Amino acid sequence: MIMKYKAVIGLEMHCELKSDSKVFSRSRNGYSKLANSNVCPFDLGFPGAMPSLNKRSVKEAVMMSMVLNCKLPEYMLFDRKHYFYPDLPSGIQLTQNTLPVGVDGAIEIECEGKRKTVYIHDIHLEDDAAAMDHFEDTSVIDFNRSAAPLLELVTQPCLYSAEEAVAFLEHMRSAYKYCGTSEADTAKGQIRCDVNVSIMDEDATEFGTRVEIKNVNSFSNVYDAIKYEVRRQSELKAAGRYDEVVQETRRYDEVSGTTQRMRSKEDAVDYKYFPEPNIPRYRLTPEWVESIRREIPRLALERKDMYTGTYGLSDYDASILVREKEISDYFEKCINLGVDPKEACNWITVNIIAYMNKNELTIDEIFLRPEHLAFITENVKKGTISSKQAKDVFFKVLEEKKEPSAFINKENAQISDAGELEGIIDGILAANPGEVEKYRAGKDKLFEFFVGQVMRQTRGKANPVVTKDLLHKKLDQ
Amino acid sequence: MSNLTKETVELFAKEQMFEMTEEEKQTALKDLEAMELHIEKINRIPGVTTATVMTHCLDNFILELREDEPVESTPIEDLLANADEVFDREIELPKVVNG
Amino acid sequence: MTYMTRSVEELHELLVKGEVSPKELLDEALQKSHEVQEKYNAFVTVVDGAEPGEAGEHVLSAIPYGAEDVYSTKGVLTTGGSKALYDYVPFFNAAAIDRLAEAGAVLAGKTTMDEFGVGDTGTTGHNGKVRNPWDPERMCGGSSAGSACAVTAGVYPFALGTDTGDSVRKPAAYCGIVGYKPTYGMISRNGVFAGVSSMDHCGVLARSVADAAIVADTMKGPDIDDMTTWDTADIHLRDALDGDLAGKKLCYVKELADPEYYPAADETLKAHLANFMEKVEMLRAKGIRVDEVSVDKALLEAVPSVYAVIGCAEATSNLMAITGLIFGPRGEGRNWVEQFKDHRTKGLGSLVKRKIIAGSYVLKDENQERYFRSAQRGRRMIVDAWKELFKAYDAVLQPAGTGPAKLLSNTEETPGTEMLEHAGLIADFGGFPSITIPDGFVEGLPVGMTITGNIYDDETLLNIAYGIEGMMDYKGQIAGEGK
Repeated sequence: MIMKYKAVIGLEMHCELKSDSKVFSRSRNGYSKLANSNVCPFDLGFPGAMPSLNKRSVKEAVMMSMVLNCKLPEYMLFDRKHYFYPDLPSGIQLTQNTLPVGVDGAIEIECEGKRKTVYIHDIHLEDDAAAMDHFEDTSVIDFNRSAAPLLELVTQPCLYSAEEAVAFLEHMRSAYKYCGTSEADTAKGQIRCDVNVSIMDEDATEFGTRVEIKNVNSFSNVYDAIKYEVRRQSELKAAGRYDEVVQETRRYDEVSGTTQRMRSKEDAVDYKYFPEPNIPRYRLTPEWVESIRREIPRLALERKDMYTGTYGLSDYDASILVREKEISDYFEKCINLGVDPKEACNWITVNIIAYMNKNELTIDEIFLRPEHLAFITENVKKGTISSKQAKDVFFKVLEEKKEPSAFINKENAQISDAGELEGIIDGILAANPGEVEKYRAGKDKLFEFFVGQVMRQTRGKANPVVTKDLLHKKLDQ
Repeated sequence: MSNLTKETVELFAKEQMFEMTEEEKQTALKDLEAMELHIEKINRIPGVTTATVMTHCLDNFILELREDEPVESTPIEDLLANADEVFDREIELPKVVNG
Repeated sequence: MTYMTRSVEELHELLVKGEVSPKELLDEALQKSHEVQEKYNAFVTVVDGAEPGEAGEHVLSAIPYGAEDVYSTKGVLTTGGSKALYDYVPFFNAAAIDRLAEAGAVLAGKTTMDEFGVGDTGTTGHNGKVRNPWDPERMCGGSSAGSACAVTAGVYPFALGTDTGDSVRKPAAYCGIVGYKPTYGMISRNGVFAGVSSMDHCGVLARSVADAAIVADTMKGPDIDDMTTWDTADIHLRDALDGDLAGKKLCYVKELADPEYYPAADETLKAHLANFMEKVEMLRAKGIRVDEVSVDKALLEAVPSVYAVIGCAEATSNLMAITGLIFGPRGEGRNWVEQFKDHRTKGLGSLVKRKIIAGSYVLKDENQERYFRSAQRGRRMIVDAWKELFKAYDAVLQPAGTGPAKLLSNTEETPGTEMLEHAGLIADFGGFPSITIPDGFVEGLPVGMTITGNIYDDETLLNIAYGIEGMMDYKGQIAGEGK
């Protein structure tokens, strides 16, 4: 494996935004099995149809721009981008070339345990093309996706490995989901990436020839495509054939695990960008921008740092907790209700997530709420129930969907009262004088025998801590 | 652009996806040459090089954007009523090869 | 009894009184349409199957009208004047058509136009040239040729057009009628085929300022699907017409009126300019202030150039959708490239193709700064100069074009007259409301005066036009009816 060159990667990440209607038309935005069931004249480029900008899409774009610490423009301005293709019926894609909703941003990510700043060239709001299906001799076009909102972010060429590229994509996916601006589900095709790859000598100052790999639709494909392309370019360069690496557009072929040429620079399309006259400028008032900023939740990395730092959780556990905002919110709610962070972490990562997975429920769908968990752990602390009993109650609450207080009562309450336990202990010691003598003579293992006896007599309800305490007091005189 | 030729016209026609007759190409070529005269006239306006580009008819800013409320989808019969080649609920065309 | 030659308000009164029925009106309009079609080719479609309306409260109820074939009309063929859309039947109405329908007006015809609004002669549409009822050897101008023709021939009291490059007002001048282009965005363009999006306006052809006001009143208003529209609730055009011009400050630009700027002028142009000055003197004699102002010739001479560049660029952009994929006849070919090419080659006319070549050229990424953006800067300067005028004046008057309708056999411009010929474009550049009214005859043919006001000031503008109209004798005139 040739590793003597530095790989330089830039990413263009397209993410479908969540909203009820599309960005430039009022038809429904969302998946439908039925082709052409979420459409209106604008989506199909019918003559006379005009764009109508969706406030929510603008809000989501502004929010993500701020998440990336970009500079916001004074107003929203859209450009026409022209090209002929069957999936673009009007021949015009509306995008932001002149004045993107965010420029010159930077965001800190974590890659293989290390922190790295990724620089953002720009982020802009645009609309999506239709979807085509291909058969043996024909293709068909479904316009449900046509004019749906897309946010495209373009990084600077500041990623230096496939690992960094994927780490960045994971980070952004999490950010989109935390902000609620996109479902960001690659399986649903909601994220598409174009990957720009070049290589250069370690000590070189100029970038090498850049190759674009278009439309990579999963993070693992991004990883594989980068690995392959870097190797392809490196092998050619090492063999003195670097001139065979040309500036071109390629596509990643999943089947062969290789990249294949699509078109060269000479076939480059002239997009004729110019501002869309039918969408007047929309001023982004400081008040609105501020209100959007206040809605930005704390994101995964920031929360993880707090969990490992302030709460002392392991990186591994913290990562699990922040994987989804709902889980993280649940965890934080427990803390706010007084649950010990390590305990809450344990309950969630060991028991709750397993239960969720088994029953295919989200954390917001399970019956057990943070309040219930707090109630249970509070009772363990008070000594009303043992930790073993707590686990029983926990599962009963989940399964039977009843409040935990239904399962914590005098009947099965733990016996923590010292007076009561003392009486029981006195009785057991009196009934087993031989064992008492043997223990006092040095047979320490017999301690467990006495504990066992107490448990048997109380049918497991004796508080083990108090029991052991009292036993030691009485036996170790 | 001083090197305008019939080939220039043909390249634009190709890009714009139509063919022209020889006569049409000649007239179009004259139109392109006339562009220089148009630019000359525009450049004679005092101060034009520093004026702000006018991208919209009115300089007003929109104050309100529409709320995120969807409308019902166009019925499929209407949608495809003018299409010549349809397969089930979709527009059909010869297979589009990746490119 | 002839009814369709009367004004909207007259017809409404007759309908309400029961002296004429909606069916009679529609029948007359349809019959006349066919006659006019025979002689002048004003129509793409005569809606013989139209239902007569019902006489109701609204002044436009049951009144038949025509619309330029660029307005989407549900269930009625809409070709945009192009062979590429010769079989296109929209499934929705343009917003403006919906508003007229709500008022009860009856769509009775789709009129001939220049293909996709490109052109100012009324001769480039796929169904051929429109002849002028005042002189069939002459044009009606364009692009709203058929609409102007139908109104001046007495088919309807009003018809719809689009004004992008003086394309409602010039035909009005040639046909001796009123052509009104409101402030940009006053009437929704949703459903109207886009020509030059930053200059397109919905406009009205009528035989009086009052009728034009009524129609605009009915069509205007914000539309959630057209972001360039704005709240017009405070504008009441018909109500504003009292004809009182006291205190109004008018002006005319001497570079657009004084023969000294047109040394090559022929007798016709000289007569047209003389007629205009006569009307200016008429106003002054009535105590109305009409100043002479001057505008830098360089600005005025650049107007047609600015339009040429921006017009072809935006038209090229808007015509990207004409591919035959979803509407219009599918092209022949083994793949989408061949099919798009076949459709556009066969469907687009010569003039449109020429414009697209020029448009591609000026929009090419590396050419834009030199061509397209320069033109956009020029536009800014021209519009700013007009805004300066409106700081001091309520309206600017100018002769409409260079005089009467040109001959169909000779559509060429007289060199040295471009500045005046195309001065109407300035109102399209800046979205200024503008109206052309008939102001006389030259060599037996109607000529007009164009009056332009400040943006959003349509009430003032129409009232000034109404007042001036009232001082002359050309209101309501019908072609061929002895004038």
